[in-house]
Order: sequence, then structure tokens, then C-alpha cells
Amino acid sequence: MSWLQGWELFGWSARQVALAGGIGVALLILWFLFRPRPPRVEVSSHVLWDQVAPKNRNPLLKELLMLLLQILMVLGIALALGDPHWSPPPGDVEQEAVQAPLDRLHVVDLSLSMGARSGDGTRLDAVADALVDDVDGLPAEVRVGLIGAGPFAEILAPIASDRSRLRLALRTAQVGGVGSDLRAALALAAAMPSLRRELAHMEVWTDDPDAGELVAAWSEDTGIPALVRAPFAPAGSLAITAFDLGAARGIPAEEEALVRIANPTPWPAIARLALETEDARLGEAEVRLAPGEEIERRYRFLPLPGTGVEAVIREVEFRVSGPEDAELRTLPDALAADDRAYAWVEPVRPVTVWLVSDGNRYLERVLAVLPGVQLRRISPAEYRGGGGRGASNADVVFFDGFVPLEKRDGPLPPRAVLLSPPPSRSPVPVLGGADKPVVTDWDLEHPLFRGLVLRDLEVERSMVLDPQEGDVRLIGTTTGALVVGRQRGDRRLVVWGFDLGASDLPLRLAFPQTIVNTVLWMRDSRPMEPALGGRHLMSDPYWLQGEGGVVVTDLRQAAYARDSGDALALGRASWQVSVGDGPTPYAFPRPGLFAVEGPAGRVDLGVNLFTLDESRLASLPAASTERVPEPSPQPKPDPEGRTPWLVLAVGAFVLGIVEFGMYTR
Amino acid sequence: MAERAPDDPLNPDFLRKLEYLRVVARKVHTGRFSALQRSRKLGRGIDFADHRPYTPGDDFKDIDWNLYGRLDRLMVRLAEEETELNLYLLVDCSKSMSAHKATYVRQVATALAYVALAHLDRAHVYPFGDGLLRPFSPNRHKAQAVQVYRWLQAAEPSGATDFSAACKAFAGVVRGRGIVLVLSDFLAPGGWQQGLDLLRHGRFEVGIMQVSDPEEAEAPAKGEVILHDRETGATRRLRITDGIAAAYRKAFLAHGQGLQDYARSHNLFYAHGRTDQPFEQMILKTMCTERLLA
Repeated sequence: MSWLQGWELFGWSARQVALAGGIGVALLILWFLFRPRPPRVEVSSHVLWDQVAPKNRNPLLKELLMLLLQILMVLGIALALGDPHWSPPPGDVEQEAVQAPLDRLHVVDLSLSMGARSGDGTRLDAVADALVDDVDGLPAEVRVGLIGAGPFAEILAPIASDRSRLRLALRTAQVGGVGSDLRAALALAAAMPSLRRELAHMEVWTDDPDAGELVAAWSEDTGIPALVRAPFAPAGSLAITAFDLGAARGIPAEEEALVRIANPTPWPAIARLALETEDARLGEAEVRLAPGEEIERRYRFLPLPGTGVEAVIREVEFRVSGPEDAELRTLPDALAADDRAYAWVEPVRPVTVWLVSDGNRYLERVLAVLPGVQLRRISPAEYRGGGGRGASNADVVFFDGFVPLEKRDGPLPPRAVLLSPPPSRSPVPVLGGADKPVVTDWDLEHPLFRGLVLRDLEVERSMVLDPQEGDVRLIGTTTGALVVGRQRGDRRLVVWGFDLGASDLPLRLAFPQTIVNTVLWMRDSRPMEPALGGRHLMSDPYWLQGEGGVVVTDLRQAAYARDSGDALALGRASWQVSVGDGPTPYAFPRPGLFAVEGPAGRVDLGVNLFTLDESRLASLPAASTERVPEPSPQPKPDPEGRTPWLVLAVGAFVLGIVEFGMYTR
Repeated sequence: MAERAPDDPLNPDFLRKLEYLRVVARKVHTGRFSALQRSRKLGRGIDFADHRPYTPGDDFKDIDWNLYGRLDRLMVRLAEEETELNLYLLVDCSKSMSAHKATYVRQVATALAYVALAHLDRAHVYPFGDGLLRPFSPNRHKAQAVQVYRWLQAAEPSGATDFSAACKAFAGVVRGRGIVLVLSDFLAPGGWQQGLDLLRHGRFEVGIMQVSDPEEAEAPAKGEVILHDRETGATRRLRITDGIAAAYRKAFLAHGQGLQDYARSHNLFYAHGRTDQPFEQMILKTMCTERLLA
């Protein structure tokens, strides 16, 4: 009977009415059980009585039915005497309002995926339109609030009856960041002090496919009804999941870019992948991806001065099958944020090559045409005269017919190439000389000669070297080695036993490549500094340094700023970020090329997504289909119309007539 | 001999009155033995019927000598022969017959038997209930009326009335035609018309005497009652309202009217006896008025 508590029927309380009805029913049942039995009359035959009153087949059923009618009649009379009106007490008004919530809190997903195209705008625009429509249709007594769920949860509009703040927050909300912390947003909603939990209702607007379970669990924990809304259609998006530069850097300072593209949709896709800078296109190719496939593409290009490089996906088409194969249609790429990857290329550090020779036109010409090579020519005399200082810092030093004395000229540079050194000073023991030695073997696996053909190399005269333990016999003859390579730690040495001019090697196509390979092999032994500029993942916080403030500039996005009057100025979009005493985390709002300038200097870096979390647009959460009940005006007794007591009295009267009719039949 | 009550059918004063009455048949029935009733037989009698030529062997006393003198031919005079009349009394002994009705029927039946026996007619008593019970056919002597009374007094009420079965059995066993007087309340579950039709088609002269208690003409009570059927033992619960009482009254009258209409349409004797009225009135007045007795 708890549902009757507090209900009042004019005159009588519900408890009194129930008591009166119960007593009436009990009396009726007692009367039924102990009623006086009718007299027994003997008649000659039932023949005439059967003609007058046909037999009742089941008199007991009739009696029970009559008893039921009597009970209903008594209850109807008892209720009618109470002159009831449905006027719940104040305590029950709130209970009634549970079904029509008066606090509506909305959580809107602000992750990057909400920036995907949906109709004429974005998914966030669709949410804003639907949400504003919902809010505008609510009665004035309903309070609304808005919470944004990006990487961090924040209250965009506190709970209030005023809708203007919510509309403004919706229209100015921007997507940004990787992922939406719905859990934090829901926790923030539950902790809002102004929220009336028993009257509250939550709606979560998101495209996160896993939001349904999360919201349902939260609703169960808090007892606040919650719905998931997704007022947009599934879409497709290709995503760049990796963009790596410098994988095959070399001389002639060739860069290699690795781009990895993923197709997280259930549809096959065709697109064009381009690699470009702000001014030039470095490469472009068509790519085809099966559903769920991830592919790699590599591009090589000449070294660039310090600039940003972008990998761009364009002209994306998803081949979506309809119910039948004949109904093939295409979908474009809905999310732009994952279609670009950025890297900042630092200026290539030039390779320093020293040539210590009295004159070697072959080497000089080859080294002179190699881009990115800073060649310094020096004669052996100058080297001995002190010009050799600093040779140890060079990437490679060619000694042509000359070997410095350690006591006089200092130690042999760590990366040196000795061309026809004097036999007495050769670091590799010399077995003797050989005229027109026959090249019997060469090490094509070594970086110096990889991919080259030296089979018919002709040498007029050469020293025959004796490789020591750990040395590599690069070119050999029947009696020894003509070229020997040595590697001891980060020290590298190549000894050629013959003068280049005494062979036909400089005339061969393999010669420049041999020199390039030699330089690369020498240079790569040096500890490398990071050649690329800083790269940063959006999902990680970027720690800013520099007390006072840091200016972040988007190097790819132009900003319009009203200068004065109607004049518009175009420039880089930049903004100031406050920085505390220590490292301060900062989340970039979108992928791109950014410059961070602070007291410590300027850092250029590419900010990338490199995740599929925001790209899975094809699957949506199972949006709740039920609607939130609208608050209805409280029913009030109608003083002029028919009142319930009249209906009850008429009902009891009708029941009485029916019962009397059954009784008299 | 003990003094008899005035309503006793064997009361000497009443018997004396009965000796002036005789059973009158509307048809001519032929009995086996000579008696006082007209018959279809031609022979010795009082009433002239016809002449026929004399044949050797005829009694000379039967020759009409006057006719011989006029026609010079020997002719024998024939007369209507008077034979006995069979009076079959079908007496309802079912349980629907209350004590009053049973007594009334018994008295009427005894008186009629006495009238028949006193005039050398035959009286047969056939009790019936759910079938035909053991009959009783007394000798042709008016003193046998006492036996009729005792026989009916000893007959136990039995079962429900199956009038059709009783009539069918009666028509099957009885050979001699005569008057069949049914004394019953005719409250048979299976109806009464089929039984009477069987008797009529059996070439009996059928008479109907309906007996009823005066309380049967009205509903026994108002309000809710349990009606107990004396005949079948069944009960039914009924709330008797004015409407139902009126309908019952109407049904009771219709029941008697139906019997009366049936009798009139087939030229049968019909009388309705109420147990609150003296049975002598039935015998001495009603039956004489309706020409069963004369």
C-alpha cells in the first residue's frame, strides 16, 4: 500500500477508503457464507417450473459472479463517498516528476572525430543543431547544462534555466585533442553540486562506439537515467599512422620518407598520397587499400633546407556496396585531421671531406660535384706544416700517396682513406709489388662496393697488401689484397694499394659511386645528431619550458585578425601559452607544423595523430531510441466537469442493476 | 360392520346413489358376455334389429308368425344383443400424486368401478407410474368394488411418470375395447399427448380426468425457495417473484386448458377434479354432466 501513502481523497484518506472498502467486502463475504438458506418446498413436478424459469446450468458460478459484482459495487460506493480527486500531496509531485526530468545535462564529445563531415557541417554541428532544437522545445522550468568531453572534461555551460549560455557554448565549441575522456566528463557531471540527481537526466552526444556500455554502467552506478545520442551517419576516413623521414639518408644527401596509411573502414578505398612541402610536391602516387588494410609507401628526395614536409591523402573514395552489388556508391573521406602528417626537416649538415694530395683530378672532380660535400684540398706539405689540425673532425680524409707521421703530424684521422701509401708507412703490411695484378676477388657485400662490377678492373701496378686480423679484403689478387678495409670501434680505414691513375677505375661508371660509398661508410661511423626536427604525438602532453610565457605559432594555418575598422590582416595563427615555474604540459589543438618560441629559443616540430582512435567513423554507438519524457502539467481537479465520485457512483449503480438482473433471472 | 365416513366411496348411502347410475359409452362396444349395454351383435334382445330367413335349427320361438301370415315366408326376427362394457381405469400412482390427489383418484376410481360392476359391466384397474403396474380385474359383482378400493390403497407410488410408456404397454396387452379413463395430474416430464394419442389410435374411448391440489394452482411461496420435485427427487433453487408466480399460474391454467382442448378436439370426456372439492360432486355432478355416467 506504499503507493497510496500521502494520497488524499477529499474527506477520506486513502487508508480510510481502503478500510471502509475492506470492511464492506468482508461483510459481503460473511453474508455470502452465512446467509439464510431458502425454504425447501415440495412440488409435484418441475415440469411447469421448467417452463416458467429455465434451468440455470451453473448456479454456483452465478452466485460467485453476483458476489463479485456486489463487492465491486460496495467498493465503488465507498470510493464515491470519499469524493475523490487526484491531487497527490507535494511529496509525490517530485516522485511524479522523476519520469519527467527537470535537470538535463548534456555531455558533448569534442574529440577530433567530431570534426568529421556530416551533411553540410561537421558531426559537432549536427549535435549542436539537434541539441539546440531539444533545448528550445523544453518547458521553462527545465534546467540544462553542458559538459565538453575532449582530452579533458570541462563544464561548458553550468546547469541553469537560462539557455543562452548553452547555445553560445555549443556554437563556439571546437573539436581538439585525441580521444574524449567520457568517463571524466560523466564523473564531473555526477559531481556537479547544483545537479538534482533525482530529477536529472543525462544525454551523451558522441561517436565513440564504446560509449553505450560506459554510459549504461555510469547510469546504473549513479541512478541517473542516461541516453546516448549520435545524430549522424557512419562515414569513412583513411588515416596516416606513421610518417618517418631520414630512413635512407645518404650522399648525395638523399632523404627517404616512409608513410603508413591505414583503412579502418569496412569498405575498400582509393586515394592519392602526396608528399609535399609548402612550395613543392616531392612525390605522388595512387594507393588502394582493402578494408582494414595498412600499407607503407616510401619516397626519396633530395635534401631540403629546414622546412616542413607533409604527407597528404587526397581524392579519397570509399567503394560502398549497397544491398546489391549493382548499387555501388562512393563516399569521400569525412575527417581531414588524419589525412595529413607533418615533419620538420632540419637543414642537412654538410659532409666535410679533406683531400690531402698534390693533385688528384679524379678525386677532386668527383668530390666537387657531390652535393652537400664541403671539400678541403690540402697538400701534404701544408698538412705537415700544421694544416692537418682539425683533420680528425672531418667526416673523411683522403690521403693520396701520403701518410702523416704520427710523431710529427699527429695521429691518423679516425676516418681515413689511404691511396697508394708509401709501403713503409702503410698501416697494412705490404707483401710486395705486382705488375698488372689480376683481380681475383672483391667483396660485393661491403658497403664500399655494394652493387658495383669490378670484375675486369685493370691495374698497371699495385702493392700487394697483407690484411691483418679483423681487416677486410675488399679487392684481392692471387698473392694478396689490393684494397683492404679496417674497422676498429668507430675508427675506419681504407687502404688502396694502387694509384687511381695507374688503373682504369676512374674511367668507369662505378668510380663515383665507389667514392660516394666510401664517404658514406666513413661518415656513418660518427655518432649522428638527430637530423630531423622535433616530432610530437598529439596524444602525449608537450612540456613547455620557460617561465612567463611561450608563443605557439601554427606554421600552416593563416589567421584573420581584425586590425582596425574593416581592414583584415593575414598572418600566422599564433597564441600565447602561460608557463609556470616548472615544465608545463600543453596539448596542441590539432595536427600540424608548429613553432614554439620561448625564452629558451625556438623549436619547430610537426604534431601528428598517428592513431586510428579518431578515424573509426564507420561504427557508431548504439544510440538510445527512447525519448526523454516531457514534463506534463500537474493534473488538477476539474471543479465544473465530471468528478470521479460521480463516475464511481454511476459505476456502482450500473453494477447494482446488473447484479439485480442476475438475481431476478 | 364399521361406520364409514361420509366421503368414503363405500359409504352405503353413496353406494345407493351410485346404483342409479350407469356408465355411458359414446361408442358401441361389444363385450363377451350378455349384459345391459348395446352391442353390434344381433341375436336375442329386446330392441328389434332385423329379419332373416328361417333356417332349420332356428328356435321356433324366434319365427315371426305375423310376417309369415302376410308374406307366407318363414322369417326369424333378430334383436340387438346387449353385452357388457369394459371400463379401464388408468390410475396414476407416480410420486407426483400427493396424498390428497391419490385419495381423490382412489375414491373416484372405486365409485366408477362400483357403477360399472353394479350394471354387470367389467371394471379393470391399471395403475401406472414409470410404466404399467400390475392390473386388477374384479369379478362382475358390485361387491368387488371393495377389492378395487383396497387394491388401489395398496398400490405404492413408484418413480416418475412415464405416461407414454404406460399407454403403450396398455394398448399392447388389452384386447377388449372399451372406455379408458385416465385419472392423473398429467404432470409427466415426457408430456401426455403421445400417450393419449396411443390410446385413441388403439380404438379405445378415452376419458381424461385431471386431478390437482388447490395449492398447485399457485406458486408455493414468494422469494427464494428450493423446489423439490417429489417425483424425481431433483431440487432447483429459484427466486419466485411476482412475475414468475404469475407465469406459473398461467402455465398451470394452460396445462389444464391444453388437456381440455385436446379432449374437445377429439370428442373425449374431460373432467378436472380438485382435491379440495368432494369427490361425490365429481361422480354425481360432473361426470353426469359430461355424460360419462347417466
